[in-house]
Amino acid sequence: MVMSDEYLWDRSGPVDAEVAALEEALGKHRFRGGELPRLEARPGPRRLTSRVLVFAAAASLALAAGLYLTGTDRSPYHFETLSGTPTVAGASRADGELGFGESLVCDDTARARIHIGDIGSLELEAGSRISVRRSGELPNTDDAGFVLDLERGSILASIFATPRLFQLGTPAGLAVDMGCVYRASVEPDGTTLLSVVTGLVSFETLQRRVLVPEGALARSYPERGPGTPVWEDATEALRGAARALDEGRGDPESHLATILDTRREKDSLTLWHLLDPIEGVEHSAERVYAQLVSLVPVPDGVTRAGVLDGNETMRERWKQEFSWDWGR
Amino acid sequence: MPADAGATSSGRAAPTSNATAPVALAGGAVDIGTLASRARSGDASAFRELFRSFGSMVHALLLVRVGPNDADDLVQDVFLHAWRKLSTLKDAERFGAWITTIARNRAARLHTRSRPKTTELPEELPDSAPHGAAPLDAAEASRAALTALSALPETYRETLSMRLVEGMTGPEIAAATAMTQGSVRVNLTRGMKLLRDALEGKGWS
Repeated sequence: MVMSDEYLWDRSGPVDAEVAALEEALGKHRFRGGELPRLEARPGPRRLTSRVLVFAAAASLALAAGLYLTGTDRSPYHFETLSGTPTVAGASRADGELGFGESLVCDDTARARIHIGDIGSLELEAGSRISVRRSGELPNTDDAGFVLDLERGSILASIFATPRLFQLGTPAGLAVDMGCVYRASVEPDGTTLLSVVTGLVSFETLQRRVLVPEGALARSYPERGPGTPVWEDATEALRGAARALDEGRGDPESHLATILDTRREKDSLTLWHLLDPIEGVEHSAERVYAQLVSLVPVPDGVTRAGVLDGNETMRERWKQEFSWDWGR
Repeated sequence: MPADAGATSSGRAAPTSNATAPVALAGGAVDIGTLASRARSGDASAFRELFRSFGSMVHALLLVRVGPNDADDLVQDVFLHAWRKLSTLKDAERFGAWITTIARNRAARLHTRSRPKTTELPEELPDSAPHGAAPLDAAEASRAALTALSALPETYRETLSMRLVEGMTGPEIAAATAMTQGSVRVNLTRGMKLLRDALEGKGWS
C-alpha cells in the first residue's frame, strides 16, 4: 500500500489504513493526563538590590552545580549509547555514570549522549573522545560547574542553563556556554571548529576571548588561541580571508582589504573582533574602526580614541549597538 | 493485521488532533514563553498549564524508553523535578526542549532498559486474510506495535510515539519540541517505513 504522507503528517488527505491501524493499536497507551500533586512554593518576583542579585546569581550557580559536585557520591554525568559500542577505560559500556577523570570513547561506529546534570546534554559523534575534568571547578574561577574536555572528534551540545555553568575544554581553548546549542569539532592537530546553532558561546583562552553567536562559527588553534568569528553566510572571500589571517598564511594586508570590502552590517561581528592591531598590517585598527563606523554608528560615550586604545567598556557599549544585528 | 481501524468510506479526513497538548488558551495561541516565565517566578497554575500542554509529549518520550508500566509515574516525576529546577531554565521560550532533556535524563537514570516489558513477537503471526485466519488479538497487536516502535532508532521512535500514541500532528510535534517541521516530517516518514518493515517481518500485513 502506498502511504499517504499527509495523513501521517496531520491527518489530512486520504486516510492511510496502516497508520490508522497503528493509531488504534498504540492509542491504548496514550497519556491519561491527570493532575500534578501539590507543588511546593517557589519564591515569587521581588525587588532586589543589584548587589544581592549578583550574590544570588553566584550562589545559585554554585548551588546548581554543587548539589552534584559536593557532598554527593553521584556524578552529574550520565551517558547512554546512541549507536555502536562506546568504551570507558577500555571496557565496553552501554550506559552509566561517567565519574571525574573518566573518558568516554566512541570509535568509528559508536555515538553516545551524555546528560549533564539537568542543564542539558551533548552528543558525542563517532571517532571522538571526551573526558570528565577531575575537578568540578570552572577554570579560572572558584565557582563549581560542569566541565568536560573534548580531546578529539565532535560533539553537539544542547545546554539550557544560566551562562557559564557548562564549559567545554578543547586543545585550543575553552568554549563557555552562554545557553545554547552548538557543535564543536577537534581536528587531529588540535584545531577546534565551533559553530553555534542557537544562542551564544564564548570561546576563550588567557590571551583572547571571542563571542560566537547563533549562525556563526570560529576556529581556535593550539598555541594561537581563538580565531576570528565569521557568519556562516558571509561571503566565501571574507571567510577565507579571516581564516588565512588567523592562520598567518599569505599577505595579511590583502586579507584585511578583503574583509573590509564588506558592506553588510552583520559582518560587524568579524570586524569588531579585529579592532586590535594586526601584525604586518599598518594602521589595521584604524581602518577596521573606520569600516565599522560606516556600518554601525558609534553611540554616545564611545570615542574613537577609547576604542582604539582598547577601552573594554567603550567596546562593549558599542557592541550592544550592533548586537541586534548579530543573527537576529 | 487487526480489523479495520476506522478508515472512512470517503477515504479523506480533515486535519484533526486527539492530543492533549499543546492547546490554545483563551485569548489566542499558547504562549509557552510567558507560561514558563511565570512558572519560573513561582506561579504554580502556570506550571500546571505547562504540564497539560507538554504532558503528552513527555509521556511519548518516556513510553518508548521505560515502557507503559513506568511511563505514567515518570511523567509526574519529570515535571516535579522540573518545577524544582526551573531556575536553571535560561530561555523560557525553550521550555519544551528543556523538559525533553530532563525526561531523557530521568529515563536513563531509572536503570530500566529502554524496551517495554512486552511479549517478544513470535516469528510468525496469524495472517488474517486471505486465508481466513483469525484477526490479530487487539491486545497482542497493541503490544507488538509498541515493541516494534520502541526498537526503532531514538529519533524516529520518539517522533512516531508522539504521533501514533499521543495523537499529536506533525505541526504540533514541531511546536512542542522546537524541531523544524522538515525534520519532524522526515522522522515520521522514515520512521514509519522502518516500523512497517519491522511489523511486516513479524507477520503484519
